[in-house]
Amino acid sequence: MTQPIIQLSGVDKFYGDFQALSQIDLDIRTGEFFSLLGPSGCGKTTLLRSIAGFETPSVGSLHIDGKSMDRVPANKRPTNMVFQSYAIFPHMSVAQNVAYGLKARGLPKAEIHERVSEAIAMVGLQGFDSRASHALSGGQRQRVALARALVLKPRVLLLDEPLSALDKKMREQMQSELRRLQRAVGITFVLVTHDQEEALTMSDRIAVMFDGKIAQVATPQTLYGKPSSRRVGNFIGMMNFFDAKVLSTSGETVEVDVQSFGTVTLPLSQAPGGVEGCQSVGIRPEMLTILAEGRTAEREIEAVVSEVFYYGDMTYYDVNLPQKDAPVTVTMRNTAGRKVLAAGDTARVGWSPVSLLLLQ
Amino acid sequence: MGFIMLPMVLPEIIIGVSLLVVIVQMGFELSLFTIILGHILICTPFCIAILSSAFMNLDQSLEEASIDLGQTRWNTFRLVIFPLVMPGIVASLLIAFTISLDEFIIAFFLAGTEPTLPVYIWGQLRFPQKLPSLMALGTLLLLLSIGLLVLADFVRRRGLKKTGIESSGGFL
Repeated sequence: MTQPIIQLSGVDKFYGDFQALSQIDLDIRTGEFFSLLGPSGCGKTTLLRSIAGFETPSVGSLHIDGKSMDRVPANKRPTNMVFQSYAIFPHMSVAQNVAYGLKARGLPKAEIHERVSEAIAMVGLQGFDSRASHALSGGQRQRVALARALVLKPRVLLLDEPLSALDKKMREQMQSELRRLQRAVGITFVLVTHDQEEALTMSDRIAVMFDGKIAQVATPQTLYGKPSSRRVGNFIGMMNFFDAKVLSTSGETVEVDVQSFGTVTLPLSQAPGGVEGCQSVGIRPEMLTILAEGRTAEREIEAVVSEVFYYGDMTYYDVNLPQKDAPVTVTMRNTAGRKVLAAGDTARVGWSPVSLLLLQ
Repeated sequence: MGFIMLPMVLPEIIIGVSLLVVIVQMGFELSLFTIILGHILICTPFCIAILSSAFMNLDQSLEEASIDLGQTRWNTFRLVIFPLVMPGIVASLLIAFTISLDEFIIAFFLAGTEPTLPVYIWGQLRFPQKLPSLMALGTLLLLLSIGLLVLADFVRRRGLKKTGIESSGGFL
């Protein structure tokens, strides 16, 4: 196991009485694409800015590459940042922007020139060298900001919601481009985002944050499939929740009485946050199926469709289950020949105990 | 901020009289220096208004980006902040110059034996034979003032364009 590139331990940050970060312990591995994900105001940007050196943690320690970053100013850290507003210097050309950091290091002119054209080519902006930077589109600015940071070959590249200002098409294109760039340069990327889809598609690992605390650090698959708490499950994708009561635990299994579903026996691995204090059971909408005529499932339950949302490739159904007030969402792929139900229809909903998650 | 802006709304005659009283009480001789003091007082609000809008239009992350890229604070100011607020500085200098050039009332109160141009013109008005040359001088003064103000706003607008911000109505 390689040494983590960034190590935070016990980091707190206070603004007056407001606690922006509390007890952050986090290791970011060398060369990984790491995301900080959370709703706005959860402290993810404060955490990123602390790593960059623009904020000083009130308590706790930060090590980058094994070296303590106490009293190391932002301009002496082995990190570079891509800002949300891109912060392209408007009075300089594209090439001047990219060369800025190299000039600050006092490198010879020939080397600067070579590395600048290399970086501009890497982000696909060949021929734009002398373009005034205020005459660039959003996507192009983004690329200049990336080139400007990557040309310095930092140990860590910090990205503060870099895609939030782009339109949907452009954003998707930049997502795959960022991923490609990260693999090509092998630099550790730390991305801040509030967009869970973006985090899932791009990252090797994700830290989910709420109210200044880290709720869970895991790979995208684990985060989606085995969220450690109800809150994480609800934030990453959609999830239906049922009241539940733990009846007994024995060895590797736990017996739970679940609203609507009745008594089920779950393996302990279905309680990723531990059994202690669990009061609800969650299930992803795609783990429920609306059974067609003649089909059967491991377990079935009668339901009434209350709302239908047709998305083209998918249909989202809100269905009412017995003994449950709030409707439950079921998503179905619209494969050939499948009938789209209407509101008011009765349906048989199929489910399986292994897709239930016991959550706090 | 409100306190600094006060001279902008106070009648100049009040500023003039009160400055005269204060300066004489403190035992200073009236001279061009006392006029300069008075003019600094009335020019400051205009300069602050222009400069603060220039600095506020500046994206704060530009400064952070420069430091993040390894530049020192001083070089960040020299290479990024200063070039971007330069038009604001030039515009405020021009406005201050124009105000000071035209100002009569405060200069009239605070002038000792060294009058400013408007005070001198006013003094010469007592002699009818000097009227044509005074008219010419007045016209020149007016044209110069208009020219400078136009130049100041032109510089300010060019600065806005450079940073890619749409003009928000303009100072004039």
